[in-house]
Amino acid sequence: MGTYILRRLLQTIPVLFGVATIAFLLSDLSGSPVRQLMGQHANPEMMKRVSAHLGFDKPMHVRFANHILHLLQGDLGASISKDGKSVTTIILDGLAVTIKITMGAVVIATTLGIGLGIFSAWRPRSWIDYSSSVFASLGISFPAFFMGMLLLLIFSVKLQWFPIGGYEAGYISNLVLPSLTLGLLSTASISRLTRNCLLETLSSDYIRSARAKGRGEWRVLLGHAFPNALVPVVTVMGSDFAALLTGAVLTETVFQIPGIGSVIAEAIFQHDLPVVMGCCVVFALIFVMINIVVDMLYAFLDPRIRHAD
Amino acid sequence: MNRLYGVIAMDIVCFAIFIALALAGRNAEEVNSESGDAGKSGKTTLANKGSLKPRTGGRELWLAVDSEPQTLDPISITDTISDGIGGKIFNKLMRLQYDEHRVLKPVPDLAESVEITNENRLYTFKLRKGVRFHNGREVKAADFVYSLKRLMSAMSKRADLMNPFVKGSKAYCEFKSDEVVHDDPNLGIRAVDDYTLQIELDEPFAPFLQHLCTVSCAVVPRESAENKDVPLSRAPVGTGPFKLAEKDWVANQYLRLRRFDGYFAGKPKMEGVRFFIYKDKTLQIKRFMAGQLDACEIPNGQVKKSTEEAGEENVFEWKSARTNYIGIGMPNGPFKDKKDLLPFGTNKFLRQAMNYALDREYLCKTILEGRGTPAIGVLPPGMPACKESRPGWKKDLAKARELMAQAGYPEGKGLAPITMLVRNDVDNKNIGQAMVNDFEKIGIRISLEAVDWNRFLEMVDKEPVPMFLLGWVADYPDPDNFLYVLFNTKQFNSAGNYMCYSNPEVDKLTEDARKLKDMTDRAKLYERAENIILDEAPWICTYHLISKVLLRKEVKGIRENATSLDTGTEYPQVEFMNVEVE
Amino acid sequence: MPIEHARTVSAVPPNMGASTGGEEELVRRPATWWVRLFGNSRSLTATGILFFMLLLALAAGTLAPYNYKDQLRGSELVGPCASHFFGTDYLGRDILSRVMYGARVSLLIGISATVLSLLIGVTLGLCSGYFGGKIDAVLMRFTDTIAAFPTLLLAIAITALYKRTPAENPDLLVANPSFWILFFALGVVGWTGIARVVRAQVLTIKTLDYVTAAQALGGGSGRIMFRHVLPNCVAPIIVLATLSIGGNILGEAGLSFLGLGIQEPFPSWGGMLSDAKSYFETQWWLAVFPGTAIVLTVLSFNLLGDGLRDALDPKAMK
Repeated sequence: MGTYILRRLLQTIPVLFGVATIAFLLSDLSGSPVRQLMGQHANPEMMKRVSAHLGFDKPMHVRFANHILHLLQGDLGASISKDGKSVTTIILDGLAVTIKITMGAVVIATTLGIGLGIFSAWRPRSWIDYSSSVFASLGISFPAFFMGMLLLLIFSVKLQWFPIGGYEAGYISNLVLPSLTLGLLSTASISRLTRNCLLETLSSDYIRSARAKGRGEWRVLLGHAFPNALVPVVTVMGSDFAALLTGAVLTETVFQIPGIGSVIAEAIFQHDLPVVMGCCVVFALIFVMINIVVDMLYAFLDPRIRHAD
Repeated sequence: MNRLYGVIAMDIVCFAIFIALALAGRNAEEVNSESGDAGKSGKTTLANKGSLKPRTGGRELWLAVDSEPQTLDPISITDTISDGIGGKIFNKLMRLQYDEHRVLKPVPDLAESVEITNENRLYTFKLRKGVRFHNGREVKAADFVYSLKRLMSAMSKRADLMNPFVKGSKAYCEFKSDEVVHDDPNLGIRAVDDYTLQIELDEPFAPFLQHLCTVSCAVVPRESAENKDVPLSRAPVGTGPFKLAEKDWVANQYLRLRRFDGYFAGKPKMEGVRFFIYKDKTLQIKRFMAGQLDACEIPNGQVKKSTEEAGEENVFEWKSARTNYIGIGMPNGPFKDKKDLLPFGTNKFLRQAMNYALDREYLCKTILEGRGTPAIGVLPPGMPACKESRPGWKKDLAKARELMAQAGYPEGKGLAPITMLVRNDVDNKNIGQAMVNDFEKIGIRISLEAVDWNRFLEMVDKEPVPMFLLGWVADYPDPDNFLYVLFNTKQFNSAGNYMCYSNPEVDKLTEDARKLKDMTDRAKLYERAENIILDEAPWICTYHLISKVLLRKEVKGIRENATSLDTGTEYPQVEFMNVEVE
Repeated sequence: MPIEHARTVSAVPPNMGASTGGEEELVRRPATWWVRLFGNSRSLTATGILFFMLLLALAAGTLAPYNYKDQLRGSELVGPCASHFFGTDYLGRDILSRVMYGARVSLLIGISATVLSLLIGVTLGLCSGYFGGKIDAVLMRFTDTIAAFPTLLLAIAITALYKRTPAENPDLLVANPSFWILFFALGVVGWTGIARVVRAQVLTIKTLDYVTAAQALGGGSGRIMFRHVLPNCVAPIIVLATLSIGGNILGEAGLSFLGLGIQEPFPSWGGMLSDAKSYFETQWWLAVFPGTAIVLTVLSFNLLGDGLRDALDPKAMK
């Protein structure tokens, strides 16, 4: 197990390097951030001076090497559009908000998703199963922002249960609808997966023998089948958690939440290269780490799987 | 079964973390100070529950801004939000104020008086005594020398305010130095004594005092400016009526400015100003209606509804010194071979036809919902030297068609489609669409090209584009800021003349006018220059902006003092010293 | 959109990509898969809706009551009524007509970007699985990199990268450069799931006797890959592709929502939603109709994908 984790960690190095390279190329080729910093009208000589001051006069490979060297030392650099604000601070501020929403979304998605899945498997092809499957299909068919707009329209504008968006630290009410939006989108896939895996497990021999022993239906479903069906569900939850972080971009736009999604979208539009690179690397790191954790969980939940190699 | 419990346990843990994190940032002090007061608006809806309490008491003014200020270091400020917030923290030598004829004029601020001698080239400022920085130190003439030199450093984004007007500024800027400021005996900025400052110009430049009213010319203390750990951009130190502590800038949520008791002109009436950061204007308006903001801008599509909801007495509108226009690129100077600028760049009648095809009334009434008046010329009403009796252009399709025929393209026959560059946001695209529809009626086919702001600027910077949609709000209330900056041949491309419009007579008039001191003499020259420009129509002037915001009637001191240079709820030019919330 | 890719792909049960049946089951595909597909009422409804959308897209020119860019001065922001079934927007444009034309963008982008993803994903997956070793390692690290990149952001960056020039002929969608940018952006970010599934499938098939036999007989690798290996991956590829069309439609909507969609005045559903942002509380019809169109179309692709998976699943033969 130890060598396996080590190997996986080593594998992340080229991935992170690749992400940093792509991020650099994309934001560098898309233009320099200096122009809009200078205001609507700008004296060309002044612009050249500011450009040089920010290091944009150096050739591309030199700047790239500089960025990578700093990254290796754990230094994400300073934002250009925010006049030298540390990228680490910007990312931490954003992540703090996004993680709250994502946590909420995971709670909603797992509780609802696994619950619905169990119910569907309990009575396959019944109305419960059918409506949960429609719900699931609808869930993955909704654009995050449209779901957000509808939730806002219903719960904030009409019922006035929650604020219309925005964020102040320390209040849960701001986070409920964004979490719900993100959560509902993954509920769907988790519930279908739970159902399918449960049904598959239910048809296997050892369940049949458990039934033969006269165990109660719920006992069989939850005690015997569910733990085994959980294995693929955990995998999906893991990849969903990472996807949720990405999906936060649109959700945060609709709800006006200053999370990492808004930060990175803004940085891309402003060509703020250090922020874009920093965010992408941190994102990728989280993604890769979660995948490793999921794989370990996988091994833990299903003793048949051993990473021998 | 254990694994089921495991998942349930994980869920509970996640939920607990969620709650803990969600509550973590709650500021105990705020909860205590605000929960006791009763909502004064009385409109407490369920939507406020568990969120910000309605606006209470009369101690703080709560405003909304669209985004965080990019920076609060004066020399880097180029956006209106930073300008507005910075304006409350810093003071300059001069500031703008309406005179008895309601003309905006520079008046001394940190200077006590200013004397202009040597054929309008030498400015001598007598400084106020006893002005203190937020850190307690007294402001001396040397601080101004430092601050203005810093404005010319390599890290500055507004060096153009000094260079090339100030004597020796060009050489100063070109000098390579590792220090932020360096000694240069030839530079025309010097401290005569602790309270006397002299600035010498190379040539007379009438709007120079207006330049000094810009927030970028603010005085900053050297010890704070050179502190690398706490940069000015995040923790500004100035002399203004309000100060900002580092902890009061909560990233992406709000900035809380607190009163500076040692302000030289007395104690401000309010305890503080808070700028809430709400990207979306729809959200701002909801917050206003719930009593959680004192002022906010009105988003598109909501003018009628929000006016009804908030009541006329809570709506505030004023004329802004802003002209919106369609610029038309011209093949002049180095661009004489640019084929895509033909035929619009060379055919005056085509441009004039566009002037008569455009339905400005519809644009202002329906699309802008009354937040604009049809343009009458380049200079917006309220600007000195603006001839407000100009008739403007009424929609007249017959005349437009006649001009099209005169141009050699009757009904648009033989005219290739043309591209118009617009900023990539919903409002600009809508306005563009409506205009395109008008021009199609006389046979001019235009397709929009929506690009983000940075690219927009990069595209118009290097060479003229066939057509672009843009607006210009004056930096300072002087016709020079329109007619010289945007139309002089020396200002080609990024400096301001994006059309690359060139007319020797306009050049001469605008150059002569900036050397004269008296506005009535200058106005005559500007009127002639504007007449030529309007006839040649490098701009299809569309509308002058009317700023319209929701402003609670209990707020005193803003309505009377808002200037035409303020376009939103940041009010960069309003002295917040006397503003209060009743 | 990336996140939707992740979700739709993960909605495929794990037995789909990996080894499930033996060789015979894979080779003897049931001849009547379509009977099982359309015997399922959900797949049938989904196919019906998709045909309807396709009809709208193709015949928008004749069916739509107005042109998508007609501005009816004086009837701005009219609610749904007899002359405008879906109401009008702030410029007086008929929403129904715009939704009909918008179907063109969604369907064309959804399908063409998926084709691009398939081309990349299948090629890389095949090579990776078939050659193994260093090639596999490099290709898989590359796949990991793209997958680890916040994909919506990758797409945003690509769309921001290109100069968005207006079309010579704005009425012809494929002549619009912004269409090709969207196509490219969505296509190059959406292939990672496909590559992984194909690779897994190839790894299983490679060990089967007939492939080994073909190799022993000296068949070229290209020939073996395309003649023997690829045909056996077709079932999961079709399912993934159907689901990924839905994902790409959502992706296009997401990019349009952020202002990076097709150039005005050509309508797209996501762009219409984006325009409705500040109006939707009072003028609900601006958001609800294009939004519903997106949901219906994506839902149909997802249901069809599910149906296809059930119909093509070799286990269903038992």
